[in-house]
Parts: sequence; C-alpha cells; structure tokens
Amino acid sequence: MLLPSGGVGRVSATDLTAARAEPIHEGEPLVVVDHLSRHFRLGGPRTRRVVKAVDDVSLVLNRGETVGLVGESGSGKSTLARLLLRLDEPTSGGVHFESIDLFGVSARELRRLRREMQIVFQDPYASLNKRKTVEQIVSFPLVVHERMRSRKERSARVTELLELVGLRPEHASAYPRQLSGGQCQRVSIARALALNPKLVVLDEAVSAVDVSIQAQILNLLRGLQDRLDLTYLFVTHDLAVVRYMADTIAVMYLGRIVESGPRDALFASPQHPYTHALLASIPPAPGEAQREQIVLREAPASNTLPSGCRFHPRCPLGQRELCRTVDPPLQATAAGHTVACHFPQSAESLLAEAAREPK
Amino acid sequence: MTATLPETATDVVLDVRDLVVEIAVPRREPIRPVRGVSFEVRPGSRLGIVGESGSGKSLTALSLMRLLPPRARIAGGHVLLRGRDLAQVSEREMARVRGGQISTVYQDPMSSLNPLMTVGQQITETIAAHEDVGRREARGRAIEVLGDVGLPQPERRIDDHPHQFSGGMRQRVMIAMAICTSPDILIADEPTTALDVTTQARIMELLGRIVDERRMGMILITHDLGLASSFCDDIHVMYAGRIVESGSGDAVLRTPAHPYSEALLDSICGLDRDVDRPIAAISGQPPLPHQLPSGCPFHPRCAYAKEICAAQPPPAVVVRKQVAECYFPVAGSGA
Repeated sequence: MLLPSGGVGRVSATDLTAARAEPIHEGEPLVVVDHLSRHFRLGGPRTRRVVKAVDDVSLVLNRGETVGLVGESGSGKSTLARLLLRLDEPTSGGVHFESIDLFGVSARELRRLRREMQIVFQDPYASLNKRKTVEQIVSFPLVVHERMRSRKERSARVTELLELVGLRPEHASAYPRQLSGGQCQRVSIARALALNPKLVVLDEAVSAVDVSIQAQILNLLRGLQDRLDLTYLFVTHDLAVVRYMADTIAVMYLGRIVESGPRDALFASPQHPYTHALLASIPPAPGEAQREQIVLREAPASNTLPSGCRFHPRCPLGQRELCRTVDPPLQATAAGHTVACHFPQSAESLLAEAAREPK
Repeated sequence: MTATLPETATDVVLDVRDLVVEIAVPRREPIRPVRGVSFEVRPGSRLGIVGESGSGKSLTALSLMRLLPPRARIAGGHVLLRGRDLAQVSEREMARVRGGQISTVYQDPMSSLNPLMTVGQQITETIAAHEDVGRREARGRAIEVLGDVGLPQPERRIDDHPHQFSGGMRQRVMIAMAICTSPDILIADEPTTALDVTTQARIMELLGRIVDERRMGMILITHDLGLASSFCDDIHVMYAGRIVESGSGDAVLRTPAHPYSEALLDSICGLDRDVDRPIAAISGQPPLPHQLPSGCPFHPRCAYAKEICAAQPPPAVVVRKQVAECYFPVAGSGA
C-alpha cells in the first residue's frame, strides 16, 4: 500500500500554509517502506513463539512532509521507527532512502546516509549524557561525522544550533541536570539537526514534557520543518497531537497499519473501530460535548497473535465469523484513505451496530 | 496539638491546612516546594490537584501519607484526618493509617506490585496487616474485591503473578489492593499516565464508580487539567508550591480565573484546534523552588502581569465561583 503523495494537509490555503516555503521537490518521496516486517522469536530454542512487531508495513514519507505514526504500546511503532534508521534489521521487506536500499548498502555508504537521518527520543534526560555539557552533546555529531576539530568552529556551530531551537548561547556550558525537561528536549533537537539531516524521526518526542512546554516544542518543530525543509516521522500515541503535526497519518495496531490517509480525510471520517476508540479516548476540550464512548474489550495479555483480524478480540463488532477467521487487507475507502477492516464505518453507525451485537 | 485550631466541619474527613514541605539543602537555606496548601475532602467527593512537574502536587500527596523522601519534612501546617493531626502522630500510628485509612494508587502498577508474590498474597497481606482476620476470610475478601474492580474470574486469577496481567488489569489489581481495607481517603497519583489511551478511560470510570459506591474521599493528582476537570467535583490548580486557583471542575474548565489555568487550557493540543495556527504556548519554564520569582510566581510567564505582580504575592480573591491568587484574574466571557 502506498500512501497518496502530495501535500494534502496543505491544500487549505490559509496565511500560514501559504507562507511556508514550497521547495521544488515537494511531494517527491524521500523514504519508501516496502512490505517491511520485523519478527522477534521469543523463548528458548524449542519454543516457536514469534512476535510480529512489524508485519508487512508499507509507507511513503514525502519530502518536507510529516507522517504521523499512531499506536499504543506494543503496536510496533517504535520498532518501525528504528528500522527506518537501520537501527535494527528487518525479517523481510525493505526501506529505500532517496532510492538507495538502506539494508543493501556498504558500511561506508551507510555512514554517509546516517547523517541524513536523525532521531529525537521521548525522555530527554535519558537520551542526553549527564556528564557532558550541552556544547559537547550538540557538537558530538560534528566531531564524528564532519571531523570538525577546530574548537572555535564547533562553538560557532553550536551557538547557531542552540539559537535555532530557542536556547541561549549561555546554555552551551550547562549540564543536562541544570536544564528543565523542555530545555533538554530542545538540546536533543539541536543535536539531531547538527548534521543538516533530511529525515528526523520524533519518537514520542513531546510525551514526557509538561503540558505548558509541549505546545512550545510542537510549535518549534513546525517552524524548523518550514525553515529547514525537514521530513518528519512523528511517532505518538496521541491523536490530538498528531493531528496538529502530520500531513499524513497511519494508525498501527499489533504490527500492522490498520488505517491511514491524509490528515483531513482521516479525521473527517475515520473508519476503523480502533481509530474510533483512540479518538473517543481523548478527553473533550472545554465547551465540547462528551463524546460517545466506544468501549473496547480488554486486551488479551498473551503474546499470541489473534486469528483473523488482529483487532477482533477488542473490537465492539469482533465476534463475527468473518472477523475471527479472515485477516482484512488494507483497502481504499470511499472517504479517500485506506482501512483494514471488514466493516469500515462511521462512529455513529458503529455504536448502533455494536448495540445490536450479541454480547 | 494547638487548642486554637478551628474545628473541622463535621462532614470533612481530611482537612489539610497551610501545609508546608521543606527540603534540607546542605550549607544553604532549605527549599520549600510546598508553600501553604489547604484543602478539604468529604466522603464520596472527588478532589483534583493539578500541576506540572515541580509544582509540588506529588509532595503534597506524599505528605498526607508521611512518605516524604529523606531530607524532606512537613515544616508547617496540619493534616487532620477525622480531627487527628497526621503531621504529629507517631510513626507507629502512621503505619496503621497508611493502607488502612489512606491508600494510594500509583502511576506504574508494575513497579508498585511485588513481581514474586501472587496478587492474592499481596492483597491478603494488606488485609491481614490492618485487620484481625483469618487466612480463609482474607482470601475470600481478596476474591471479592478483585471482582469489584472488574477482574474476570477472580477466584482463578487470584493465584496469578503480576506479569500475567495486562497493564490495565494490573492497575485494577493495584486499585483492589488500595481499597481492600475500605480506606477513608483514596489518593490516585497519575493513575492512568502509564496506561494506553484506550485503557485510561475505563480505569477512570472504575475509580469513579468505586468512590461513589464506597463513599470514599478521593484525591486525584494529575498534570492533565482536562482529565481532572471532567472527573473531579472540585479542582485545585498548583503552581510553584501554591494552590493558585480552586473551584468546581466545570467552572475552572469553562471560565478559568487564574491566568495560569487559562494559559494551560489554551496550550492543550485538543481535537478541535485549528491546525493551521500555532498553539498558544506558555512562554518560559516553570520556576525551580530555589529560584522563585518575587511576588506572584507566575508573573514572568503571565500575559497580564503588571508591576505590582513582581512586587508582592497576590491575595486570594473570589472570582465568580472560584478562588484565585491573582491581582488581575481573567474576566469571564459574557457570563
């Protein structure tokens, strides 16, 4: 399955989107994920239990755009993010970065590619070396990849990077523990940008920071994308945040993309019961009416993959014969995106049908 | 202790007055992460304490259980549980209160449960520690309470270990452990933060049902103003160790009185937000307890701040149905 190309999220011509720099290669794919799978064998040599962390996932990241990858813990979203940076090897399938086969390149070529792709992790304190100063942390990629030996040159570049992420030059001499969570996350972002990457993977990059800081970081990331023409893979469990950040959204459940499409189409008419449940779980904003709850059954605690549709044990409609036996493929919907469900429908009709379903 | 202390209203179970927590710092003045916090909890009511990290909300909760980290101590105020000041009682008495009259549900069920004991052992141990009951009876009660929190087949699952449960079920077990002694006060410290979003709503629903049915007083500690206002009767918004606004959940959510509450609500990335506009973020960082700004602690980040805000701490004023510590509280829109 390939996601539709083109900046769908930018069709709406408001002031801000119009002000965005439109590079000539807009809409051109930067990363193509092709039937990618990563299976982990669990237990000893005689057990044959396999966890399909990522199972036959295809995805396209267009230049200058953000793909939001949404899922709960165990959905495989972080494994997929790691594969995209070749921090892990796939069981099958591949990833092409600028048409180069990421898993077929030489060590030397990989080293060059690594500069183009960077990652920002969830916990800023855990991902920064607490014994190094901000300057040492941010300049480390320059030392490794650019052999930038001159101290003066490095300092100048660090100052520039800190300014870019909204920190002051004085912060260069600080240690992570002297900074707040939000400031640490800015340092992580500065480090990720040190080598002028094309792709930045943001793995739950705002999930651990305080509410009042989250908005700052999100605004910063959007500004940086415009200025530096970055492509983001934005991994999160928060649909409200992803709606603000992403042009294209893919919802993952147990290793598979269950629904994906352009942001506006997906939010205007979500079709998969799991997407409905994720949306219903967001507390209503001030003034907004309480959304009708789509109650999921409790997740099975085992590691065995359910038969048929992998979502059926938790689905409000999942007790149907077809759902228990046949794995639904991703198919295009009338609403302009793709969904892997035998009974794709709106939240209202899902609730009505679920009410009629035998318990 | 002091005879001058005014009486607690009769229907109040827990009455916290002017609570101050200090942390000793070597060779320096102690810092005060909690600076005069007061609230009351009634049976069957839900109170929310909302704040960001460093606001003092968790230290407030830990003070109620007297489980403060080393070097931190209650340096002032009273924690009156049914008229008895927990800030003054002996450690031995306090041990009976913890898990007996006041229980806590923590954020991460996996690190709060003992991985080597079955959940049944852990619950019966709690019951036996607080009540004079036989093993058989304690086990029966454990099965009952596991059923109450919605665990399917409790008589079978009671002998399972924590790792055999999913995250949501583990949190249900934690809740069962917290309520098995029928405490007066249930503290829930970020009870759903470690859980998946689809599970969060069900756990909150369960907590709500339990406090209603058992007429417990509940204190929800959270950073999520949206969650607190939809779940709690009353909420207290904390900033830099003070309660800066208190009022009903609905009122604070709809017409916040303190500029901090208002800014916090504006910065939440909600589903109805116009995605083409940047979110109205609060500038700057929350202050650290050893670098508190003068006057109102929020003034360096406040959009309405004037000269007086930096000069003197603001008084508590009544705004509509709320109380806010602010010189220039936010006017309600039309209401």
